Amino acid sequence: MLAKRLESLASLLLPWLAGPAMVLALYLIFLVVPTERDQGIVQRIFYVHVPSAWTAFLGFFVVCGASLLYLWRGSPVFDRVARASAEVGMVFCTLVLLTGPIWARPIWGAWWTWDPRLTMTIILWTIYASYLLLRAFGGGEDQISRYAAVLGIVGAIDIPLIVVSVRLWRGMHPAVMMSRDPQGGLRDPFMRVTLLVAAVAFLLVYAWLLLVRLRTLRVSDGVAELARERELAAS
Amino acid sequence: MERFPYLFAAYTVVWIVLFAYVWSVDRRARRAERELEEMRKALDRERSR
Repeated sequence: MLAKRLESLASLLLPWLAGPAMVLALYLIFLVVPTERDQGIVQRIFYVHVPSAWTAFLGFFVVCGASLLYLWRGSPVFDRVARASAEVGMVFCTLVLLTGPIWARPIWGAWWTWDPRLTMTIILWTIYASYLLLRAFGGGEDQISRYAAVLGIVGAIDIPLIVVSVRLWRGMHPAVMMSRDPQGGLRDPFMRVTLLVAAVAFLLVYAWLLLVRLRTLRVSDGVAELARERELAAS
Repeated sequence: MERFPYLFAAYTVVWIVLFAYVWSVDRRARRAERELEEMRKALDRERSR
């Protein structure tokens, strides 16, 4: 009952928080934040690329947590949460893989390199693409949900590797957020505020999309359940 | 540099259109959920008769 009330409150509030937050983030990105000295205007993509990556990681961690709970408790609610979060996480992970090359072309002179972080990220995307394919074409059996749960848990192991890959394997990818260089990182307060606002906006959008997808999954599960009941009654 | 307000406007318009679309999908999903619940209750009533 409490969960239902919280969900109604969240679905009422989230669109009206996410909408203005995103407009504010765009305002800061295009009209307030200073242009980076070395990279120029292309650096502004950072305020979309980094929050997308954080949101994708969060989405896949939610898949991992919900999958663990599903394997432990067997409740279809956790299975639905994992599936919905994987879909939304994939949207953000795809954004990461699209915005990265747009930045890389003028800065590195190449759309793509097999840098450790880039490679680990494309592996992450492939794992969760496989997860979604399994869910889409594997059928609705419990066994498929359990296989998918295992894949969802294993896939999340890649995330810490992506985070530490810049330091561990010394790739080309910049380590802005993990920089130990006192001259590096985000030193301008507007840059830090813009990144924070964009991260919050992306987080709100993720939560809202997750809620919408959860609702549609619940409706389709409800319809399938009614159809099963009807078949049983007819036989 | 002076074109940034246009970029901001373009991205804002795209975001508003996307926002309106997801919001309308959410509303329709909510309606479908209510209808499903009513259908389930109606079926339960029919069975108990």
